[in-house]
This record gives sequence, C-alpha cells and structure tokens, in this order.
Amino acid sequence: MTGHANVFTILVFIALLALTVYVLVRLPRHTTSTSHFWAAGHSVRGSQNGVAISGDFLGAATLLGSVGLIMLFGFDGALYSLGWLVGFITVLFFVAERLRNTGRFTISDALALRLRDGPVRCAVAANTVLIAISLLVTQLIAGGVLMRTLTGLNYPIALAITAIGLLAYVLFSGMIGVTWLQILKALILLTMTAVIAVWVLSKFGMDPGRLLARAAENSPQGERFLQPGLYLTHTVDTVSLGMALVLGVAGLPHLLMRFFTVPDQVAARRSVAWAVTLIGLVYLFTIIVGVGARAFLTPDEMRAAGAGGNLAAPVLVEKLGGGPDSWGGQLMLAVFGAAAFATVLALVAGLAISASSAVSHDIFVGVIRRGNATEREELFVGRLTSIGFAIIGVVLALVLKDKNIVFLAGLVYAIAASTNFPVLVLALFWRRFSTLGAVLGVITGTGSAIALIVVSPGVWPGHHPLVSLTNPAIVSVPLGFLACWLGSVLGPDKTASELFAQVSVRSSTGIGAEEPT
Amino acid sequence: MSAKGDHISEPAGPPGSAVDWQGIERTPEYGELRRMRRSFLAPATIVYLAGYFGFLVLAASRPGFFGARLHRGLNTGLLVMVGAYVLVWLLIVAYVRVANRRFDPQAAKVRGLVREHTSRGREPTR
Repeated sequence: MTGHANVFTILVFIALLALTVYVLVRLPRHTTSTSHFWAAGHSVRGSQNGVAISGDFLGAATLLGSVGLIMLFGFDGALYSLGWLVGFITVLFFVAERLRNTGRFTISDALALRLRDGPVRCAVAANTVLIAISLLVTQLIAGGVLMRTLTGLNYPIALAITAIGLLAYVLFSGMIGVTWLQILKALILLTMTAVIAVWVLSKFGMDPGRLLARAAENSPQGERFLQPGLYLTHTVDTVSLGMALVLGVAGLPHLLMRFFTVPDQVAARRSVAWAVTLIGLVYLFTIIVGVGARAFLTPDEMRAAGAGGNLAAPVLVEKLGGGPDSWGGQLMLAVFGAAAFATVLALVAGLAISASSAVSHDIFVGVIRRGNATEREELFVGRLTSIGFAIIGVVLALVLKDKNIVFLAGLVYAIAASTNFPVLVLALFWRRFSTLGAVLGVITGTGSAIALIVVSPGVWPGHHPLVSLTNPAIVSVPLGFLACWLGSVLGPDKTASELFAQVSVRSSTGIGAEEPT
Repeated sequence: MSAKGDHISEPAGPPGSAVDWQGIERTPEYGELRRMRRSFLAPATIVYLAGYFGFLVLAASRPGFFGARLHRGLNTGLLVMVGAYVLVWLLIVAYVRVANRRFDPQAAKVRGLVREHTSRGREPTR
C-alpha cells in the first residue's frame, strides 16, 4: 500500500493541477469589491451554491473516516453519517433563508442588526476563527498523511502545495474562485465514490443483498455487523453525538457564509435541496464502499487499513484496480490520491475565506474601525489574514502531526451547536434576546465544550477519564442556551427588543435584503 | 462602506424616512405569514427531531430491535436507515415547495405594505 511517486501518480497530479489552474484562470476576476470577494457578488445560482455547499461539507473525514467506520462497525458507522444529513433540515428550517435575508457577508452582520455591534462581532468572530483553525489542522494533517502514504510525496511538501493552492484561489479570486473550486471538488468526489460503489456492486452481480450477506459472513460479529450495537453503544453518548451533528451543521460559519453568495431566499432554499441530494448520494455510496471493503478485503488487507480503518477506501480501490503490483492498482491509487487532495484543498480554501471575513469584515472594519474603512483596506486585511491563516495551519500541521487530533473534529461540531446555533436562533426568534445574552452564550458554550472535551476519553486514550462523555453537546448545548437566557434576563436590551420586529419581518420576507451585484 | 448594514435598514420610501416595522408586524398580512410558517414548521420539526433521536436511542439501547432478517443480508434496521435518508430528502423538498408556493406569495403581500408603513419618524437602528 505504501505508494511511491510512480509515473501514474505524477501524471494524475499534473492533470488535476492543470484542471484547477485552468478553472482559476477562466474565472472572472472582479475582486476589488468586498461584495465580490466575500460573497461572490451575491450572484451564485442556487444549484451551483448547493453543489458548493456539499463541497464545503464533505471533507477528508467522509472519504476516509466514514468508509473506515462502516467497514469496522457496519450499521453503526452508517448511522453516524445520517446525523449530518439531518442537520441540513435544521439549516433549512431555521437559518438558511433568514440569514440570507438579513446579512451581508458574515453571520455577525445578521446579529448586528439588533444586537450591539462590538461585543457580538468580537465573540462570534473569535469563534469563527477557532472553528476554522481546528478544521484546517485536521484536514491538513489527514490530507498530508494520506498523500505521503499514497504517493510517497514528502509530508511538508504536501502541506506546502496545499497552502499555495489555497492562497492562489483565495487571493486571486475570492469567494467566486472558492465556489468553483468547491464545485469541482464535489463533482470529483461524487464521481469517485459512485464509480467505486458500482464497481464493488458489480463484483456481487449488482445485488446489494449478496453484498450485505458476504460482508456479514466476513465479519467476526457475523449478522450483528448489519445491526446496531457495535459502535454507538452508550445511549447518552450517542444522543449527545446526535445533538452535535443535528444542531452543529446550522452553526458552522464557513457553511453558513455560503448562503450570502446567492441572490435571494428562493435560491437559498434551493441550495439546501441540492446540497442534501448530493451529500445523501455520496453517503449512500460510501456505505456501499464501506460494506464492500468488509465483504471484499482479506483480514490482512483490513489490517493494512489501520486501526481506525482510515485507509479502507484506498486499500479497496487498489485491490479493485488489480492489486499493489499491477498498473491498474497504481493508477486507481493515484486517482484516489488526487481526489483526496482536491477534497482537502477546496475545504481549506473555504475555511480560509471564512476566517478572513471574520477577522477583516467583523473585527477590523466592524469593531476597530467602527464601520469606517474603505473596501481596499477591508480586502487588504482580508488577504493578509488568509496568508497568516495558511501559515498558521501549516505550522500547526507540522507540530501536531503525530498527536491524536481526532477530538478536534468533534470539538468543532460541539462548539458550533452550543454557541453559534443558540445565538443565531435566539436572535432570529426571541424578542427579549440581548447583547449580554449573546456574549454570555458564546463564552459559556465554547468554554463548556472545550472543558468537557479536555477531560473526555478521546483526549486521554487509555486513561480513566474524568467524564465519560465522548461528545460534550448534551451538556454544552443546554448550557449555551441557558447562558443566552440568563444574560438576556440580567442585561435586558431595550433597543434589541424594539429591533426584533424589523429582524423578524425582514428575515421572513426578504424586504431590504442585499441585492446581487 | 459601512459594516453595520444600516444602509439597508431603510429599503423603501423617500430618503430620511423609516419603515415602521412594529406596525408591519401587527398587520393581519404578516400575522398570516407567521401562522403559515408555524403551521408547517412546528409539526415538521417535531417529526424530524423525534424521528431521528427516537431512531438513535432505540438503536443504541436495544440493538436487537432492528435485527429481524428480511431478505438475504437485508434487515429491518437497514430498511429504516434507507427510509430515513429518503425521509430527510422528502422533508427538505416538501419545505422548499411549500415555501415557494405559499410563503413567498404571502411575503410579497407583506412587502407591498412597506410603503404604507413608511414614515418620517426615526426607527431605532444599530
């Protein structure tokens, strides 16, 4: 399985790089206005944005982690993925179109309509950066390690190529470039998973029943492989994880930012429908691939996929292609490596623009300059931030390479579910919500999520943990809401209550929403 | 260029005028829009949250519940899982259709009221 830079690897990577450069060069480059740089001029079509959202959402975790979980734990691995999809219902029902109708570039814009600018922007922007950096590090490490394993590419060089690619897109074409990069990546990922899934099924006469039966035969747990109970065994922990997924998706800043790129609320809704269709399909394909890995791989090959099963998908494609020493196997591995690279590249570019908008639009312009900055200044600070963001990401990915960082991904969803989600929902639906409530909510939600993660089993493998919860959401989400309520009762905000009528009417009708440019 | 978005808080009417949002909020047209949205969202939210967490709790606490074998490798749990994927998709498509066909025309009526509720008085802004 250990790849080396063979002729296929080099050819496939050159083809992929050529494709990304071609897309970048063909893109319109009017990125001198903030509206274009942060929100693609609010003129992306609903269908395009939907595909891009699925690109923003499907990371290295889907391509590697989900397939591995399903190969190892069968039913429970597939149940895990369902939560994310359900999370999009939350996005659609409560957040998507209302955010589009009231905000310009960042979620803080919508909050600042009724809450005090300074404190809210600081709290939410800090949160956005924290989420972006956590995700960036997990993606860079997963991508770098995978590229080294598959193609023999040196780890620091893989990181450097990713950072340069991300900066090329963000600096030269802003949100429109990132959008097309996400679309390109989503289509590559969809095609890739579809081809592997059909290929696996064809080995079993296109009969899913036979595939499932063989997977159960191959599993030490037999029939139980196809039933619940191998992974999500602790009820409270499982509900906690479910909460983080179902509410957390609606609190991810880099994902919510995508809703500002479309012209109106109709397009915002359509985006969600497209995104869910694509993500649902990719999940169904990964279930087939994961079950296929269990049905098709020998015990030795499964061991080669690693303890967490993270390399199950590449091991499987190599075998489908004809094995480690065949040209087909090497070609498939090279294609898979390129798809993984595109996946990581597009996702980190989306994170970079989200973090830059928080630092530049919210902190620099909104808080430091109190709204008095030229577009040039805002864009300069934004570009500078994305360079800093890429450098921080590479440095952290080098330092933390051999550390256990799986908890970071869980932390991201827990923080999103217990801070941004309560704050956004209460700002949109609760008249008495106040600035103090929002700030207290962000601090409490983030603080409790981090504290509970730090003492959780995931951070102390092998030790007896202080708290047995793997995911903090079941505690931190209610705490986040409670703090929002407490702050609003302790520090009522008369103006914020009066402005509720405006936010409520505008968010549900689209009156005065930002026009596309 | 202001970051506060206050240039869009006065969407209609002559310059210097302000929209009486609280007035619009009290109109029967807006009340109807709220009622429409609530009558779809309240039951739909209960269905998806109860359905998802019910499935999770059942799967985690009583794994045998989904064990009944139907055909070859297929069992009740897998069928419910595939059904859940389809249900999520159907619920999303249903919302998009209802919102486009019923909420939006009503929202357009509310938009038409903005001019009537525009006054020279200052509304609070941030």
